[in-house]
This record gives sequence, C-alpha cells and structure tokens, in this order.
Amino acid sequence: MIPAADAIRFGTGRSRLAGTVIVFRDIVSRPVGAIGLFLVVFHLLLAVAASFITPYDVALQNADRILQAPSWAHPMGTDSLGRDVFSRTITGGRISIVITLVSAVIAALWGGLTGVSLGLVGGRIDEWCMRLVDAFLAIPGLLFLLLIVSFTGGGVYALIPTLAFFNGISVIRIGRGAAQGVAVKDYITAARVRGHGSRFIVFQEMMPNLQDILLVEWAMRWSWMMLAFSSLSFLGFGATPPTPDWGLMISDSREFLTVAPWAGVWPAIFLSTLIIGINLFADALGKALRVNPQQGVI
Amino acid sequence: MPSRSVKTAGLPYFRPIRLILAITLLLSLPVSVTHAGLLRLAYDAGFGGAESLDPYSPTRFYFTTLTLFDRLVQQNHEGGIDPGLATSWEVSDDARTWTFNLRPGVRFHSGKPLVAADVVYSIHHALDPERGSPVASTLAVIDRAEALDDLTVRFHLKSAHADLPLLLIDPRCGIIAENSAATIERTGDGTGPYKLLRNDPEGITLLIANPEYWQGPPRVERIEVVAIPDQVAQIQAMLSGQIDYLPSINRRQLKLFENNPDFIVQTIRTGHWPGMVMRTDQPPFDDVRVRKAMRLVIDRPNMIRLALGDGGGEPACDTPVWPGDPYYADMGCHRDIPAARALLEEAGYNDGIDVDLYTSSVEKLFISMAEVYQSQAAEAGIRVHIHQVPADGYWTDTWMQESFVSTRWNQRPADQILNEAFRSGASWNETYWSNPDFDHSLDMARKETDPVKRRSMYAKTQQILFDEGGAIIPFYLNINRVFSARISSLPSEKELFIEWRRVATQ
Amino acid sequence: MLKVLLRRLVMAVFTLVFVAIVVFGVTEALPGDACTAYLGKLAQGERLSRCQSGLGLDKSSAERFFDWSGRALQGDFGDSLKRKRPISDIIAPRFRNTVILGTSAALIGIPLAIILGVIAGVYRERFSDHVVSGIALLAMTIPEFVIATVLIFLFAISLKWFPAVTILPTEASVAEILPNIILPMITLAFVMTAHILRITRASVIDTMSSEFVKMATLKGVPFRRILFRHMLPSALLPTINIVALTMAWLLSGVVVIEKVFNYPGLGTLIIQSIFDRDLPLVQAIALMFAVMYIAVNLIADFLVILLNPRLRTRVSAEGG
Repeated sequence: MIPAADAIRFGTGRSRLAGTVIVFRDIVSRPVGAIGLFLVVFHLLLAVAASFITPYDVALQNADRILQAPSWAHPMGTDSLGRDVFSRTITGGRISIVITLVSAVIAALWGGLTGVSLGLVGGRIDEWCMRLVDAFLAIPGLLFLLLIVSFTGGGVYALIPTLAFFNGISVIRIGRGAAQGVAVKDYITAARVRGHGSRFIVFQEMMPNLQDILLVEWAMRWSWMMLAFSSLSFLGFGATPPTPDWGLMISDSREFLTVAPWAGVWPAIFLSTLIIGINLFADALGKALRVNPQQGVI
Repeated sequence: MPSRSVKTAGLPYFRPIRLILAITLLLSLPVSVTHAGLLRLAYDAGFGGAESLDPYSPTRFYFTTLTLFDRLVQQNHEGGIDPGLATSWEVSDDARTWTFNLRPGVRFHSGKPLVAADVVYSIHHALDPERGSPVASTLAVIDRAEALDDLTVRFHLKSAHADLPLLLIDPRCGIIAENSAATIERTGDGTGPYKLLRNDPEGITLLIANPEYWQGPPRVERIEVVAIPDQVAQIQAMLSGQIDYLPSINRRQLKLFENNPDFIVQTIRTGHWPGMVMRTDQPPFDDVRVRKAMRLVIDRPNMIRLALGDGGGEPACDTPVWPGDPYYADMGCHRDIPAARALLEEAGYNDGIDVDLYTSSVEKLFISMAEVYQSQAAEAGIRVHIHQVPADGYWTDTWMQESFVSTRWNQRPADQILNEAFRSGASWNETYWSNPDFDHSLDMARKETDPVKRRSMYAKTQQILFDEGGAIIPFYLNINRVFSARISSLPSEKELFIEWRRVATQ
Repeated sequence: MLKVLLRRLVMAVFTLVFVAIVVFGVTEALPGDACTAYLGKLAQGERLSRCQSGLGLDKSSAERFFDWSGRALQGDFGDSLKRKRPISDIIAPRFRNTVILGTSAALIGIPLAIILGVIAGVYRERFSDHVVSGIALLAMTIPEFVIATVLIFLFAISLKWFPAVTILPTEASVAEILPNIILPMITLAFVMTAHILRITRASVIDTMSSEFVKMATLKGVPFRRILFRHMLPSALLPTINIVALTMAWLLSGVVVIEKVFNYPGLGTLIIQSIFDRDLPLVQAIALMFAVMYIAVNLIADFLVILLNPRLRTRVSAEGG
C-alpha cells in the first residue's frame, strides 16, 4: 500500500488532488477518523448555516418564558432570560470557531516558518532563539490573555493575535525539529549540491513535506484554543453578552442547573463534541499523514 | 508485528483496578458536619481582605460591624426610632443642640463601661476628614460633641436639624471606645450582641454571642461570616447546605429556592432606586417642559415587568424618598402621551425630539431599563439613542458629564438623599439642579421641630422636585433573600438590616 | 553531571529574568498606568497624584523595573492597591493553597496516569486500551468547568457528600484543607491524568517497538522482567519532562477550577485582581505562576539527569 503521506508529498497538480483524496479515504477508513471528520464538518456547517435555521432571535428575551423545559416551541427549552436555547446553542460556536480557526492558522504559519528557518540556520542564532522560546513557554499564557482582554478593551478579537502568538511559540519547536529531521534527507542535500540557496530550499523542497506536520499541528492547536477560548468565556473574559457563546452559556446557566439543566447541558454537549471531533480528526490526520502529533505538549 | 506477541503475556492488571476502587471508596466517604447553634452567612469579600472592623472605615466589614456595634438609636419596623445606647434625648428650641442620655451599665466587649466620652470620640472619629469615612457627609451637620457627664452627651450642630436621630440610625454610626482608633480595625471592640473571636475577612470570620448584651443574650451561639466572592458559588453553597443565608438573589434565581422545603425566601421592599437623570443646565433638558414630557411617557408598572420581572420593584413617581420613609410624599403619576406631545410642541419640538441616553453595563439593569424607556418614549415622538459605554470609567467619564445618563442610589433617609443628590452645589447633584425654593424648603424642613409641619415641608420639596426636577425614578427595587429552613425565627420582612440576635436555629 | 545541573540552573535563572521583563513590559505597555486603571471613576486630582507618587510612577520605566525586580528578589512586591496590604502577605497563603491543591491532585493523578498509561500501551488497540484511552480523550476534551459543574451537581447538591464550594479559614492547616477540596482535587487529577496517560502510552508503545525489547522478547526473557527492568525505565524517562511541560497547561486549568470551587488560591486571586485592576498584584501573581512552572521543570530536569542510566553510570565511575 502506498502511504497516503507519500502520495500527497510527491504529487503535483492532478496527482496532488489524488493525494488529498487518498488522505481523505485513509481518515474516513478509520472509525475514529470518520467520527472526527463528521463532527468537525457538522459543526462548521452548523456555524455557517445557523442563522438560517434559528427559529428565534438569539438575543430575544421573554419574561414570560423563563427557564422553560424543552417543548415543541423550544426544543431545548429556554434560559434564565427566556431566550431560546436551541437558537443560541446552534449559533453559540460561531465566535469561538472563527477566532480559534484564524488564530490556529496564524500560529501554525508563523511558528512553523520560524521553526523551520531556525532549524535550517542552526548554530548560535538557533541556540539563543530556542532559549528564548523555552523562556516564553514559562510565561503563563492564559494570564496574558486575561490581561489583554480586560485592560486593552479591544474586545474578543484582541484575542486573535495573543492566542496566535503564544501558540506559535510552541509550534516553533515542532517546526524546527521537523526541519532538522528533513534537513539531512537526500533531496535537500541534492538541492544544496545543485547550488540552490537556503530560502529556495525551504520553500521549494521542504515546505510541502513540512506542511503535513504543520497541518496536524494546526489541528491540535485548534482544539487547544477551543478549550482555552471556552475557558476565557466561562471566566467572563471572552465573548460578551448577549452574544451566544457556549462557554458563556455554560457559565450563565451554571446556577440554574438544579431547575433547568437544559440551558447548560446543550452548549456543553456541543462544545465537547466539537473539541472531541477536532481531536479525533487530528489523530486520524496524523496517522494518515504518518505524523505523530505532539499531544498534550505545549 | 513483534510487539503483538507481547500482548498475550499476563500482566497483573487487576491490581491497579483494586487500587482505583480503594481510592474511590476512600474518597466517597461522606463529610458529616453538625452545626447546632451556628449561623453561617455568606458575604462577597468586596474589599478583598482589606475589610476593616472600624464601622467608620470606607472599607468597613459591613456584615460583621453590624453585629459588633450598637448605635445611639435604632430604627423600628414602622420607620420610627427606638432607643439604643441612648435611652432618651431632647432637642433645644432652635433645633441646634441635642442632648442624649446614655444607657447605664453597658459594657464594651473588652469589659470597659460605656461612657459619654466614647460617644464624643466616635462622632469626632467619624467626622475626621483624614479617615475619609462615608458617613462624614451624613453627619456633616454636627459641629462637635461634648460630654456633660458620664452618661450625657450634647451635640452642637452647625445649622438647625430637627431630625438628628434619623441621621444617627445610619447602620454605620456604631459607637466605639474612646481612643480605640488605632486598634479598632482589628479588635472590633463594640457593645453589640456578638463578640469577635477571629477576624478573617477572606476566609471564615468567627463571632460568638455576647452573654451580657443589654437587650438580652443572642439566641444563636456562634456566627460564621464566610467569604464567597463568586455569585454562582454563593448559590451553590446555599443549595448544598453550606451556608444559611443569602442577602440578595435576583428574580431568576428565585426559581431555585421557591417551592423547596429546605429554604425560605423573603421579598423585601427597599428604597434602592435606579434612574435616568437629565442635566437641568444643558439643552434640551434646561427646558422644564422637555423634562416633564420625558417623565410623562413612562409606563412604570410595565417597565417594572419588562426590566425586572413581576414583583421586582414598586412603582415610583420620581421622588428619591421611598414609601417606607415617614416623609414619603405619595404624588401619584400616570402615563400621558398626549400631554407629553403637547409639552414638546409647546417647547418647539413639533416633530418629536432626539435625545442621547448614555448608559453602561456597570449595573445589569441599566441596559434593559434604557431599552424599555426607548420603546415607551418612542410613542410620544421622543427618539432615544442609547449609547452604551464601557463599564470601567462610567462613573468618571460619563455620569455627571453627559446630559442624560443612568444612575443608581441605595436607600437613604429622606433628608439625606434630598441633600446629597438634589441641593444646589452638592457634590453628587447629578441633575445639576439648582432651585432656591427647593433649597429653602429643605432648610425649613430641617429646622421645623413640629413633626406634622416637618412632614408637609418634606412633601413640598418632593413636589417641587416632581414638578421641575431632572431625575426619572421609575421604581424602587425589591430585594429577595433566602434563609435555610434551619432558621426557626425569621426576621420581619420589614427589616432591611437583620437583627441577628433575634434569629434562632433548629 | 554537576556541570549539566549547573547549566540547567543558569537557564532557569535566565528564564526567570526574561519572564520578569515580559511581565513588567506588558503591564507597562497597557494603556494608562496602574493608578488610572485602578482608581477608575476617582482617577483625578489629589487622589491620583497621591497614588502615582506612592507607586513611584514619576520615575522612568527602566528605573522602576530595577526597583521592582530588586525588591521582588527579596520577596517584597510592594502593597496591593485595593487591599492596602503587602502583596507578599496576600500571596503567601494563596500560593500555599494552590501548591496543596496541585500537589494532592498530582499525587493521585500521576501514579494513576502512569499505571493506566502502561496498561493502555501494553494492551494497545485492545479492549482495556480503548476504554482507558477513550476516557482519557473525554477528560482532555471536555472543559474543566463542565466536569467541575457536573461533579458539584452530583456529589454536592444532589448527594450532599462533599462541599460544593471551598469554605476555609485563611490559616487552615493541610489536614483541615484536604477534606474540603475533594471535588476540585478530583477534577484537576482527572484532567492531569488524561494528559500524562496519553504521553505514557505513546512512550510505552515507542519503547515496545524498539530493538532491545524485540531482542529480549526473542531471547525468551519473561515479559514481566522486560516490562519492569527494561521497558518502563526507558519509557518513563522522557515522560517526566513532558509531564513537566504540561504543567503550564494545567496552571490555566487551576485558575478555572479554583474559580468554580471558590478555592482560595492564586487562581481566584488573579481573577479578582484583574477585575479590581490591581496591576501590582497581577504582576506579582503572574511572576509566581512562572516561578511554579520553572520550578516544576527544573525538578523534572534534575530527576531525568539523576535517573538517566548513562549519566548515572558516569557518576558512579567518577565516584569510584
């Protein structure tokens, strides 16, 4: 069997598309991958289509319908302000998905590029930069997120650069490690021998190979950021009311758990399934691309 | 794969399972606590451990100081005044000299007997500008206090005031021992029903019954004042039986405790009010007709329903004096859209008027109130544009700056609120209201020693305010509080400040 | 070996200095200063200037940094703006409480994670692995606050077995604290276990496919012997470092868990101080979190060096 990763790696044009198809088949062929992909796609589609499905305005309060149990009119019940939990739950992933997706892409790109360059340059610069990276890892990132959100007043979008920056730091290590691994491979040496400069080598030869690693890294970062963002919202530093957001909804409904569990259970299920989905997907993607994701490593 | 062969090899794999089971069992031993004769009250540690036991401190430990100290006089449930550490008092004819006779035989927790010098010291301590006490402005009318003998105190006032005892019922006016300023914030040495056992404002503060209390010993032996800053954590502590009392829950949280035999809910009417205030010195609100129209458009009961929920408040007619106050003037007010339109036309606004309302989420209620007002005012052609500004900085940059803003005041006696918020030049005169008639009748009311006449004068001040003032006060807030069913003798629903010594537990 | 240890120590100090610069720099870069941020509606006139001169805000940034870090080294962070008390007095009991919570969770979580991780690794792709890995995945992906809320609902409010929120005197002893923090401890241990378990599992699988294990298996060495003598030491060694690295992640979990359970640790304190806009306190706590992270990593480094067979033999050779 041709490993999917090799197919995508050496493909160009039509055959690269074929490679993608092979990777896709590989992911779907694993039950874990199929479930993961399904969950991710489901949530993405829902986030896009939510405004067409919502039966009620997500911010519409109704004093007569406070904390009502699920019914035909409100399939997931109502929350403490009489808002429709169904409408809010299906819209509740939007803000977090947009912010974390964008941040994860930026993080994987800047971290990956920096890491690869360091891996290639090597020597003193590399050594010192890696010390800096180690030092950065000691900074409690969550606290900085809190600080920036609460003191700059930039709102929830101020999180993007911060999330991307701190996560990118962790990607540097992985990008660098991967570059060092690839740097000794024959085709790089061949390119060097042919007289190509190192920048050319990075972009022409290595990036396509590293993109697998970064792709998996991106997926892992995304799931981590979803968790981080929901924690921030939960603590009151993320999305601002009345924006529907799962973390915030869980936080708001916590006190009413004994009388109206539905107001918190649904957002919790949606949030958890998305993060589980991303994790399973990242796992399967790693296996399909033969990349070992650095789970749990900052 | 070679590693597959490994799998069949036996591993002692029940062992960790047994370990896990053992740990689980160990962890699931229920925690049992007994608490007879103990009351556990939650508070929010709002000053984060800087809580001071000095009742006059700006960061006073509110809950605790209420039970550690006594006042000269106390408020009864009818809004009247009962003796406290003072048994009786007289006022001079010009209402500028007050003499209080102290209760003999009262002792501080430290054992020191209460004498007039302690009262003199307390009042001067409160008025000392260095302390920055929040009651200083309330008591500002007092020039000095003087001890005539061991049990007689005389207050000399700067200007006449016929209701000095009404100022002294402020729960912050506790009597402390002479020369105790340096230590009081840690010792909490008062004459009150409970004595301090341990001061731990960020943890559990312990209070123990004072058996020698002059009104008889308290019925519960110990009180724990528990710091729980987080609102939700307070609710959960209450639901799981870790505390016995929550001072304030919102309408929605009522659902958690109503119809639950473990809890008793009380709804208390208060004089706390939120409002929207117009600057009477700036257009378009410098025109009294516009101000009047702005107030005529409100459907007050409907606003309560929408902004607070049913029973969340009592309608108000733009007077800051609440119905529980003996000087409350019931003026009656109704929504009148045609009259509002007519007034606006008269003022030259034939096509309606655009106004900018500045508000913020400093108080959750502000936004919903503003939105309800917006939709009600629209019917009279008043187009309210709501500007929501950041919560931080609201009280500096917006309140008392913009011409139409949200505000909020806590319950205060009539004389206090009228003077602090509406007298010309008062530092918190948020409507920039300056009306000589109003100021004059306030002065006259203070001087008047005949209670019936005084009442009519306070009513007159409120009428002037109602006719011409710039404050929209649509309702007074109700407060819901929860007790655990363990508490057998509940305080009256008229007590905003609970007398804990009367409360008993099962 | 001493040289390696020393180098690690120097690195830790360097990291600490760097973190101090960043913590100071970021709070410096925020709009306004500590006084305007804190005073809010009262930031004007005499009150503002008194606060500013009290904090020495009239001096230059560099001067204040050296001032601040110099005093911080002696454990003096100045006074909290809101609490009007020395910051070190405020932090000390909170720091202790967070360490108690973290350590007790680690004492349950780490052994559990290693045992389960080894089981899952050895029985890879079989029933017990699927169960263990599945639960670990759930524990990793379901946010801490959801787990905590469910535990409170079940064990505190419904069954009333454990307290829902932590109510403790500030000076509580460890013996007083432990029975009160069972739910937060379980929550933290649960999340911690999941992370470490996955790392252990991966490491065990790695080692099992390595040459020497294959050789030993072929030679007919009993499995139990291979497992305990050869596989576990080489599988667990890299785990130690990675466990230490995940601590940074867990620190953010501590903030959430402390908040949910009203636990009087550094996590609740930093949230409060951010709400209070008490910047000197925020700076001090951020630094304390970094110190914890650096300390855990340093300990892990030392452990690895001490346990590493290669370095160990060198030590004994040097010694003998």
